[in-house]
Amino acid sequence: MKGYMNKVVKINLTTGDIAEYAVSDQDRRLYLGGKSLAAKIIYDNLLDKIDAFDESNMLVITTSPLTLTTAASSSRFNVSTISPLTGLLTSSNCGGNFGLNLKRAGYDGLIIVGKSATPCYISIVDERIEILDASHAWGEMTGKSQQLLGGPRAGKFVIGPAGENMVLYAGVFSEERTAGRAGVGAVFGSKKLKGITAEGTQVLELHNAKKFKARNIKWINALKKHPLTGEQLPKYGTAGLVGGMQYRHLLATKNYTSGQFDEFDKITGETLTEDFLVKNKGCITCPIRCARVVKSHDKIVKGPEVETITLLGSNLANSDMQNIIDANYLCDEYGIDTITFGSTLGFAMELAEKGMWDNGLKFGDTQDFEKLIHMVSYREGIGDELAEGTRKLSQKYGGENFAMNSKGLEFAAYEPRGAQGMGLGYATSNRGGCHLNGGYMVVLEGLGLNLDGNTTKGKAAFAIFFQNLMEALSAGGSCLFTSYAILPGFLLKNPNAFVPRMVNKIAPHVGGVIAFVDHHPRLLAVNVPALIPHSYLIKQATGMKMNIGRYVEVGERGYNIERLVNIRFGLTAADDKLPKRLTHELEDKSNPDTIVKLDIMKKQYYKIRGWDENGIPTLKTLKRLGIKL
Amino acid sequence: MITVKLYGKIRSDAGLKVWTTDSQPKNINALLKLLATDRGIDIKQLKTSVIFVDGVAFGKLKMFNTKLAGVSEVALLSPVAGG
Repeated sequence: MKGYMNKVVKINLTTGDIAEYAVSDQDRRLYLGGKSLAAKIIYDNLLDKIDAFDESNMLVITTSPLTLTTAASSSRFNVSTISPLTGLLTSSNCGGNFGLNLKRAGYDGLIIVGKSATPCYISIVDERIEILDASHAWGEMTGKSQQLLGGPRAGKFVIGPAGENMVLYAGVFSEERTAGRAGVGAVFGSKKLKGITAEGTQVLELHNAKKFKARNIKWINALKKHPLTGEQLPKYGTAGLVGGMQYRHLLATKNYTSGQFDEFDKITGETLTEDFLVKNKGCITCPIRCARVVKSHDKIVKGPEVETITLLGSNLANSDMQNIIDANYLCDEYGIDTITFGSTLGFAMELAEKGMWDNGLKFGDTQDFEKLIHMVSYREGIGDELAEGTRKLSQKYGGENFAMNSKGLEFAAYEPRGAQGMGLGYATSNRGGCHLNGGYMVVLEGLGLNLDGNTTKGKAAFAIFFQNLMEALSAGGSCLFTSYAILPGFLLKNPNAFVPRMVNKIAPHVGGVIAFVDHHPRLLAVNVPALIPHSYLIKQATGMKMNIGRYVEVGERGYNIERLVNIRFGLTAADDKLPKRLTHELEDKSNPDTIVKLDIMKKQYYKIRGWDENGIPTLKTLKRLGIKL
Repeated sequence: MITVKLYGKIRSDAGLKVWTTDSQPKNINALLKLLATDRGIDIKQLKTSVIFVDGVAFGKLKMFNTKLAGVSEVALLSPVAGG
């Protein structure tokens, strides 16, 4: 099929066997690629519950039909596996240079099983795959490791010391970008796999290159003109959200005891830009260029994203931007996820404050970051316990009600008591407390549009629509930020005008219509390339019958098959939950609506999804989606 | 005295983080006019801001007619965020 290299390979690190893995064109049509196709592969192969560090756990690395095309913001790729942090299926998405080089080397994806006896890396050069010794790079930081492994033109994907020592939230790094969440790096480490390098000269064929190119140019121009992707994100990066989050009570502060931080002004995107920014930067093929390059002491380093600023900043009562930049750099070098690290520290600080764990940690005292990051990465002293994340700490020391995770994965930067839809998203997300997999509802609830964050009305239907859309974007190979351009600029540019105000007011009341669309995505059997170019470009790249409805349905199918894997791994409806702090303690004592009313929304959510009251997809739903049990 | 805190594009266009006035404009509309005149910013642009009055979204108040008696802080945020 055009748009694909039509080759996925399975590599067994125990035996050294390398064999082609057949993916049918039908599965390509149904799942496209990325996290959805990876979930299908895992669903077909992991038939029984296993531990994340079991030899049979699979690392499924997948590209997508838009990868290696020139489509805007399409250099991303995915890695899925059973997470050591959640015990469930996880997927982690990454920018950087690896995904498109994997395709250049001749492969759409890799399936890695088994365990090597000694440190190794996988080298792929134009379809030639070798498992090579990596003992010279073992113990090295992620930056140095990328220099040591593979040729200078190769795409790299490596772990640091944290991954080697199986820190449960270790990530995998490509250039300065990270597949950060849920411990995919720890699974690499458990397999003694230091990294993968890929390079090649193969060319991707497109179904209709002329039409593809013409639309893509228009899309790039649209992204450059859009107020979010052409103005705000290039100028302030994701950190530009901090001010808005503060005023809307969405800024996770002191282990989510509050949505506001008194000293937030010191850690805004504006402060980062004015005091530290050298330039902005983007992934290959990305016109948005949201990444920050900042000066830090005598170095030029990657700047922190909003998630890092919040979790290592306000969440720890830390208003020292330089300190956050330093910690961000070190987390990247050692190879750990800044979100879970910050959240785990916040939880440990509150345990100490409450006298439940004497660990020497204190809110507002973050000058020892360097030492702590080292201790976590090498599992030394309290670092060994911090390396396990919040859920395992709460099992040992108590405090489950304020261990800020869902299904074992720590929440992102957004305090959800000011955004009911975001709360529902955190609770129902397949990979745990993830803002993106949860549907990123805060974009509707204050950080883009201004739907009332305190109402539950319509939120289940919107959350499902955006969860499915985000899933489709990942499966197709687009950066999720390209979805912002779907929101018409006129709704964003002047929120005080009559039309945007009416839209914000009416939107929660049209939940029934959205729910109907959620049930019948094929009703959207059109392509509107000026609005949603993704489906049109996939059609031109692959020749598939693709339109908006089918595209959203790919997302729904992916979401459901991920759910089925999780059910196989023991997930029940009781796991779609939030800590009691969020469901029982008011964020704003004067506002009774500032708790997440999860029970109300969850029932609606299951019903609209076509799941039974136990959160299990019904046979009717699975049949509609073409998923076989 | 009213302190106006600026964020995003408005901040870079105005070239300042915080602006204060000792005069007592009667409502948000009057305050924005004062700021626009003082800093040479287009009033139309200021009116596209997301505005908080002592921490309360002005959409929950009387928008541009919100009275400023007793108010100490107004925040003007960029209409778009995203991240």
